[in-house]
Amino acid sequence: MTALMRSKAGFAGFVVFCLMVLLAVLGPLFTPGHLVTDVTAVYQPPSGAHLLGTDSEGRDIAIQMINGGRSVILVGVLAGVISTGIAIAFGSLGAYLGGWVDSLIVSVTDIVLTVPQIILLAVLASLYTLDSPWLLAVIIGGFAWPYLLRSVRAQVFSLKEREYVEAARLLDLGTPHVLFREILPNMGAFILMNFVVTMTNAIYALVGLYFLGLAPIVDDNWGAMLNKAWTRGAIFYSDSLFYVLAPVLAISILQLSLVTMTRSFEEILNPRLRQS
Amino acid sequence: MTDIHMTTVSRRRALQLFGGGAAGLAFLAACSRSSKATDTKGSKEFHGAWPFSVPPKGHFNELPGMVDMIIGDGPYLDLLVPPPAMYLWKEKTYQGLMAESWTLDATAKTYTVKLRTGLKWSDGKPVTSKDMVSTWWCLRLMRNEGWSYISKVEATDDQTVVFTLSNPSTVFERYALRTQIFSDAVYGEWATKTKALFDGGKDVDSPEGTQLNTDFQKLRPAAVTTSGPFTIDVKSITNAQLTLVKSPTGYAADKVDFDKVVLYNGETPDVTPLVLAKNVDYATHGFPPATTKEFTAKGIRILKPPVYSGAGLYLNLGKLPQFKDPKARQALAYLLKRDEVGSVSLGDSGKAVKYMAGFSDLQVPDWLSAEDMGKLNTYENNAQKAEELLTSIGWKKSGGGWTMADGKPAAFDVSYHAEYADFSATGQNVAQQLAAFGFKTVGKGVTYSQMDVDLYKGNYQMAIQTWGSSKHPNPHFAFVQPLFTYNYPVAANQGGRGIDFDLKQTTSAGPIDFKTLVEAAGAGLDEATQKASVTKVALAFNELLPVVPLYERYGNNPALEGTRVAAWPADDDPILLNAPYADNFTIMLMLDGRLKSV
Amino acid sequence: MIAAPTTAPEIRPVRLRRITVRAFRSYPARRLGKAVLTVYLVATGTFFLVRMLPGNPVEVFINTQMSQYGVSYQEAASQAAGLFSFDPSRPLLVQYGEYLAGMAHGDFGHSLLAPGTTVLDIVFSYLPWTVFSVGLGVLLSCGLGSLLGMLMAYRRGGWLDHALSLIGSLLHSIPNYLLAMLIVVFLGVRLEILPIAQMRGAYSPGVTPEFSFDFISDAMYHASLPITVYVLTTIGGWMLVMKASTVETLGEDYVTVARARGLPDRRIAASYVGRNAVLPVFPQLAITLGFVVGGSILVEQVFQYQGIGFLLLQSVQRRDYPVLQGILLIVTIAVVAANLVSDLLYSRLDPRVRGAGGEGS
Repeated sequence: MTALMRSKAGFAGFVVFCLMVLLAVLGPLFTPGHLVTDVTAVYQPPSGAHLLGTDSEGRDIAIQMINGGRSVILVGVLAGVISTGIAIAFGSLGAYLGGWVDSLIVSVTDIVLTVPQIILLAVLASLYTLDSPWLLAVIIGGFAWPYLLRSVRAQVFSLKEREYVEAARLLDLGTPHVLFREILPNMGAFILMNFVVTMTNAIYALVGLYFLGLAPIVDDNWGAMLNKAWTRGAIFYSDSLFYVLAPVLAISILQLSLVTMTRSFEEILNPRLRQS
Repeated sequence: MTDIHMTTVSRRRALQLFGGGAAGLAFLAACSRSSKATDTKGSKEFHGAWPFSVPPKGHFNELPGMVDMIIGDGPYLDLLVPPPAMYLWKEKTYQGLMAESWTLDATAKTYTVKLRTGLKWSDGKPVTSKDMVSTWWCLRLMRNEGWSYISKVEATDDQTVVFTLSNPSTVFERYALRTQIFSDAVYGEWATKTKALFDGGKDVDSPEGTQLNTDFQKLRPAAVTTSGPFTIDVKSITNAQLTLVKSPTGYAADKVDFDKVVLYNGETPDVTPLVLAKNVDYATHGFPPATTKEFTAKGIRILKPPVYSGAGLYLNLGKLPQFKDPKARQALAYLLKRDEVGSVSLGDSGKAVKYMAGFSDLQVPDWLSAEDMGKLNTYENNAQKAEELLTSIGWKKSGGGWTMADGKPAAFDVSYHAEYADFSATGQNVAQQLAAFGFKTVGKGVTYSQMDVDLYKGNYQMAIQTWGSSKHPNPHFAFVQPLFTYNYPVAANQGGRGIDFDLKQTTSAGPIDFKTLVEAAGAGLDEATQKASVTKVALAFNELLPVVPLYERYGNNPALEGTRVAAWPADDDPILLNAPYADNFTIMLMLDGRLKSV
Repeated sequence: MIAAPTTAPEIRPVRLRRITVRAFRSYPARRLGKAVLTVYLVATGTFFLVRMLPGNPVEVFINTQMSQYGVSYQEAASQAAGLFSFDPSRPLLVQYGEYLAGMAHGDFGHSLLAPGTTVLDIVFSYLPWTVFSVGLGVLLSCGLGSLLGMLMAYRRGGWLDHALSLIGSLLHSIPNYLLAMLIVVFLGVRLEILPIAQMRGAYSPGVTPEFSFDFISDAMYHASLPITVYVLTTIGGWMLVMKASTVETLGEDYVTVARARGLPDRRIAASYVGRNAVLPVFPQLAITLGFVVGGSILVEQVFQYQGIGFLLLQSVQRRDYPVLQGILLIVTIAVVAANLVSDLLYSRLDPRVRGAGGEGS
């Protein structure tokens, strides 16, 4: 905790992140779950009654923002975790163990990388309904890992030859120990940064799925809002600009808070950076 | 990192970086538009918008039935190769362009078209009946629907073309007069080959026919040979725009007040900024309500021609047998607030359907007598009545929801085309209204190519789809849509049953066979008999509601007045009732000379 | 190789065999072999996957004609029958065989919806623009981003670090099509700074593509907006990743040693830190470059800078199998090739990797 507080910016990021998650998870408990369409209040600019204005059906945008964070954050974080997890696990294993394990992992990575995702998604969407956030997270995460895996693998390759790794090996500390206590912590900042970037990409991949009609819009989450705002031309009308910008800003702030938060983590993971 | 050396170097490094960046930017800034670019600043220009593909994908073989022709699938083709005539929807008459007269001989079963004299192609040759005959033979090669009504087409003299009707119907007139005439110099060779094919006793399904058809589609003329006031300036084509230039010898070249037509490429969101920047004078794209509001705020006039079709709620009776009882469908009509659906989907351009007769409200007075119109139920919004109807067939209200007659809870999916802004708004709003009423309903966006397949195969419970026909004035085509096309007669071709609505039904007026009646509505030469059939279908449709029409679409065409174009006619001018995708009024006004430049 | 003269003739074949075996055992050759295999597998997979999409071209065509153009079913079906030589009932394996045979001759077939145009013609009329705009965008973004990232790592904690983090993050979190549209709406329409009507498209009307400064300048003018959008939305990612990597490298012992030895900072930054910090970025750059050929659909639409992305979407929606396969094949080859190059070069760049895990001589 004290380490976290060492960097003011990092701490601020942490606080903002926690606030957003809290708002997304607990907020919906206090807001109406189902908003009524009000044709007389379409596209109203921000006012006392509606803090961010109203959308194409006269519903309050601020409330939708509060309700809409949960599934999006869930999908983003989950996809990021899955993707980063797979990349780290198999990238480092492959690089460390070498031989046929490495060859196999590289081949599989290449194939997953080059498989045309849109087509595969379209086929999947025609066979199953992609409505649950967990399913979406698995699918999106399942496509995102090859990119990171190669970098992890490359890093581990070079780190593997370090003296302290050799020392650990000589001491017979075992592969898991070498990987998790010696090598990976030195890539900590790099991995974290990639996680944050992957998370944002995952959120926008979700929005992309809505755009292509491959994932049904079940509730009014941020991605759905963005999709509706774009297709209903909200970006062109001065009074409806918030409809488009609100979800984008939210996702923006989420990523920003995580990025600044990693600043603190950098110091935790890499003691050499700590100023004494 | 408090090493002074480091910070000094880094600062220098930073400056170096910025210096390099600035140099790079300077280079980029020096890159400017080529001086050879042909500017579109000049006198008397008209700016429109239509999507097209650049060669080699896009091409100039503009015959109906081809794909990827450059602007051939839109209203602007009529400026290049005008048809014999175009239709006025309010007056219900044709206005001759290339043709000066046309007659139907009911006894001899022929239809005769007489072309004007003195018309020339852009290659200098005169326009004769041979051009029209060649066009029609090529159309036969492309399996054009017009040939299902005729057995023969021939030129009796230089200006006259005679069609011999094998299936006499008033519907054929539209095919004869509205199909563009193409140059014999380009298409004559293919017409001859096709005629030889048929004279030899073969048809398009034979191996020779299929081969000829494939070869014909590979035809790529270097440009369009035009008979109209404009021709495509091939050099001007980029992937963002193309220009039509005046063809001085073309039909109506002297009447048309514009010298150039610039067409911008793009779909709705891409064209919107151009309209907002007042670069575009007229566009037929379907702009969503927010965009239309901004147009109005900028002082751009919005023309709202009727499209004669709209969105309706299709029910899959195969998956929802509880809706087989017409009372259930009527309940839906009573409980849905149609004006809200229309308003949410298209703003002012979505008007709630009044007569619920299965075809456009604007046409109902033309086909039904006043007395019959009085028999139509307008299903005014009445939640109470909806509840009564449902309880009368065994549905129960329990807790916050409803249980259907078979005991299952009322929970439905409303599927819609995800990419269509209006349908997606419709689908979501309908789902919300049904949910508010007590049915657990969820909107499901499906990618449009998938959705179309699902509509045939019956992979949906409730869906949003078009009712009505925006291209043909005869209600026969409007009825065909829900009753034949998305029902088992046609859906069977794609392995499904669509809405699965039995075409033999019983109404309060007695048993009715929709199939024979709808076919009769579009057949034969006697309008009175057609009207009788249409009336019967309309009344039955109104009572049974195989699909629930929700709102009728009106265009929201931005029309910029005062910049390059003087003005469009007043809102009450009858020509503004022309369906914009069938007989576009802007084109007709231009050809007339009534649309003047500033 | 001490051999009696009587065995001389045997030496050459043995040597040859040794060389060929060595060639095959060598890393580059094996890697190339694997790459070709990957391309083959993915191409086959794509062939069948694409045909698993619901609906076939004929059905989709009919449906589009009906829903978008209001044509009746009869007419649409007639048109389709007249248009397509596509026979959905032909056995898949036969189609597959023909596809492979065609590929071996470099014949990728004709577009289903435009029988007169070959797939290669269509693809190559769109491909150069995509490669040009997106490729330049990626290179600029990565280059600039890496430099800025290094800068941020050096001045860690300073105002520059915070500011660039903020801007980079913010820009990265806006979807590129939205930024494109915002630029068009605000700079083009509202403030009228940019003449968007003239900047749309790949080149100006009346200009013919040729190798002259005039054309290149014109092309750059039109490409500037898409490139700017690509750079702005991706530079944040490169910056952050490069910064993280540099931060770690700066903490390494050899950097401390180099500084202790009194080497000039610029030298340290370039030769020691920069070279090592950029290593993890390299594979990602390679992959991104490989995907450049995929283009960006929505950005292309907004600026009417039609490239491969637009073509891909259109062929998916129309189920134009040959064109679709052609595009996907090209993307596959590009990505696999990029990976291959990245792998082969990586061992050159990082000596520690050579000799490890079967890579290198």
